[in-house]
Amino acid sequence: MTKIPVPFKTTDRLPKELATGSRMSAECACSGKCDDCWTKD
Amino acid sequence: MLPAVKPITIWLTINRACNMCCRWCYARGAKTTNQEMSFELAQKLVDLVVGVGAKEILLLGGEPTLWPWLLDLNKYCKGRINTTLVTNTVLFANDIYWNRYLSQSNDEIGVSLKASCEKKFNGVSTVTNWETTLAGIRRALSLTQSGTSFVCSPDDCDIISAAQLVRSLGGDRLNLNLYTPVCVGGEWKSDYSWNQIRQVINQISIQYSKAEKILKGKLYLNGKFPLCVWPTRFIEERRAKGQISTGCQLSRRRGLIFDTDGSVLMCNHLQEYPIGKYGVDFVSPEELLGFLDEKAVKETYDQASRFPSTKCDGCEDYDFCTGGCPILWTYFNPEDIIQRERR
Repeated sequence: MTKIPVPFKTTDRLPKELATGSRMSAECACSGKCDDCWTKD
Repeated sequence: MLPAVKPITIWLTINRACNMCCRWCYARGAKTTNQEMSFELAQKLVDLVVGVGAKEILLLGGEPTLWPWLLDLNKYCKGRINTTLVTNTVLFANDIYWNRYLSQSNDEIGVSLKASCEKKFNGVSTVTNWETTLAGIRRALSLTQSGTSFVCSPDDCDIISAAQLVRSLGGDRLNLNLYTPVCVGGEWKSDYSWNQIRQVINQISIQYSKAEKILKGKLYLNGKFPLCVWPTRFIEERRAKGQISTGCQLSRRRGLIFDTDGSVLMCNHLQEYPIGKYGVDFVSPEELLGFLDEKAVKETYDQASRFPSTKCDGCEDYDFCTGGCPILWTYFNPEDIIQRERR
């Protein structure tokens, strides 16, 4: 299917690796409503 | 090119109908509110994601308790994969529904707290009554596997009141989420200016220590904004206490979202930008992994992984920060917001 580009106002440069970020304490049970919860992976 | 997605956490958007109508909801751009996933498709998607080794399914909408087959799907998933229900809990206030729900509940519940007090609640959602909402939340929080999330926006970022409310309803933890722009009819919009959002950042920073005490440390911040816009000491304290999460399934490529018709989304905010579809691009687990590994799909993900600002390239905190939620940069210009040094 046609993939419509999302209009991100970013640079065109990619990091060499995926940024890992930081997870919260394992005690946290967030709602995951906005896809941000990755405490379980 | 960066690596392909390895789906560990799956979001199933099972409907778009909702018994609230929140001002900041990412789903308000949905074309129709009567979109819902068929039970047959939901079963096929569960089989598919179990087949690729996913560990967790989050069921969300709309309001997933309005979906007629929720309890049937819970039964279908039991013993195969963990499920989390993301709900506003309004239906839980109904005795008949609550008793039915308890017979086939989810492994976890994410309660979405819409406001810190009744007055602000009435400004967010005029559809449902405050007392009914509180009754539902109280029931959800009576289950040990429940947590609460609160979206902080310029309309309501009183985290002390939110923490007190959660405690009064029987909860012991709160996750702070932050407002992001939404796509409505193909146009990206923000209800607030960046200067208004800055006020939210300031208020959270000021109120955090008091709110944290109310919850005995169990107050968590979803660090959706670039870390350089927060006070340095504030971020260091959150990091030391394990109270901040940065990055997301999109930045780490560990999740996948399925819309009601089986379309694959990179993020729930990107309903208008599907990247593939069950039954068209893949059916089996092997085909899904092959699809995610296609060059065109990885290039699409790469759009979301680019440095937001030239200032991020070379920043020593980039791996921790991840440059903020990519959805921010559909509306705001990162060159105007991202700073070279933390505050």
